[in-house]
Amino acid sequence: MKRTKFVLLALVAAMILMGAGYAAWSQTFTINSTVSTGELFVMISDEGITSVIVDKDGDGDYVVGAGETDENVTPATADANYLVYPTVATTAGDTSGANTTLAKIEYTIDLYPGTQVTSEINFENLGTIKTKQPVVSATSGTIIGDDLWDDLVITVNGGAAIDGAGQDKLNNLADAIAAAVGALEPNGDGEATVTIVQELPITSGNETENKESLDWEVELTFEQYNDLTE
Amino acid sequence: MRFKIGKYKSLLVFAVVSLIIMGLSYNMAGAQDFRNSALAYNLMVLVPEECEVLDTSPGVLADVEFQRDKFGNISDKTNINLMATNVYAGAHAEFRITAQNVSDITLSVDEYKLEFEQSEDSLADLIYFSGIVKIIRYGEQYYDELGSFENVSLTELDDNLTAILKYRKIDLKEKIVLELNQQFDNDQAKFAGRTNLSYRLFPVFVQYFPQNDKTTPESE
Repeated sequence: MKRTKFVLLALVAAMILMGAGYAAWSQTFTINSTVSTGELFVMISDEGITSVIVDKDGDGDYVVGAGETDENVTPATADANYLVYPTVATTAGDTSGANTTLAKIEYTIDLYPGTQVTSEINFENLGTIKTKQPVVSATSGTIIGDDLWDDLVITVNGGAAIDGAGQDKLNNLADAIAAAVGALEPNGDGEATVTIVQELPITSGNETENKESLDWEVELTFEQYNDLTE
Repeated sequence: MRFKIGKYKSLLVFAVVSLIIMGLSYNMAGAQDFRNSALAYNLMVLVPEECEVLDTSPGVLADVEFQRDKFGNISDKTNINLMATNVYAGAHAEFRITAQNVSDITLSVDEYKLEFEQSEDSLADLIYFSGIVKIIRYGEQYYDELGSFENVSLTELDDNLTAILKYRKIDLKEKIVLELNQQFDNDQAKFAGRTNLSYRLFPVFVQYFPQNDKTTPESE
């Protein structure tokens, strides 16, 4: 029995040592791989209200200059022109959420017939990923059933007037803004400026009388550009 | 303790002692030279000139890197880093990794091992692999394709590579080429909150021992 145990122990020791010797004749490589996503961030900023023009001569051209009586109203002269100076607010991109940046444009305008408001919004892709044309959603605010909104003539980047009424009109406006922004190249190379002109024509009738103001809001969601689907 | 040492016991004792001495001496020699022998004593080494990025999706930044010393020279040809940044849904990055048998013995791959970190922001389940494994023979005159795979998940990658390469002979000077494509899931919604991935593959090369095929007919 003692002899058997000795033989077994010797065999075990030999096997262990053979394994150690065999292991010396092997080699392991290391292939490391690191992967990371990019950053999706579109910065929205605004030049604010760039002009408020009152069509004093009633010719509907909203031209200010020599020989013209139309007036470019400033915040300082708004009261004198019986206007509440309109406002636009933009909310910068929020990178939380599903690889998207959310930006927002909010307007509050107070017009009477023969007034035109012009504003500019800038979009700049400061992330590292190209973005698609943004997905938009429009919040109606106070416009539903509002004659002031329906009579408002709105253009984006000098295009055709936005058609429709109520929520449909707001949706069409949101789509026009998105189309004007389009896809944006990354790293600051992609930039778009959207000019929005809102005019209450002098021909607007009594249905807009005593309408105080209205506000509307568009949300833009920027998503990464995907080669396989575009 | 006293016991009689018979003829066979003495042979056994001699064999055991020999193995002990062999193992100890090899380990001591190996430990002493380890720091300076990374390039001189390797069985297989990577070929840096033939390790490269083959293709990427637009906007994806990919590169291969080796460890270098302060003079910029590659200090370790058994370690490679594949990097891909700015990836997005549907993107891909393809790499070529070439390794050569620089030893004096015929080698084979024993297995591939895989390690990766699994965390909440990991892209581990959004990545799929396709690839081809080739062997370049006879002074690079031609190559044989050993196998290929498609749409393999990360957790299956090591087993797939092992299945292709295990028991394959790598003669002296021959090169093993792995063309590995990392493809990301096309569903953008799945990328919410996922930002990175890090994994390591460890191919283990061993001395090649022929299979016992003398008494059995060759399979295809």
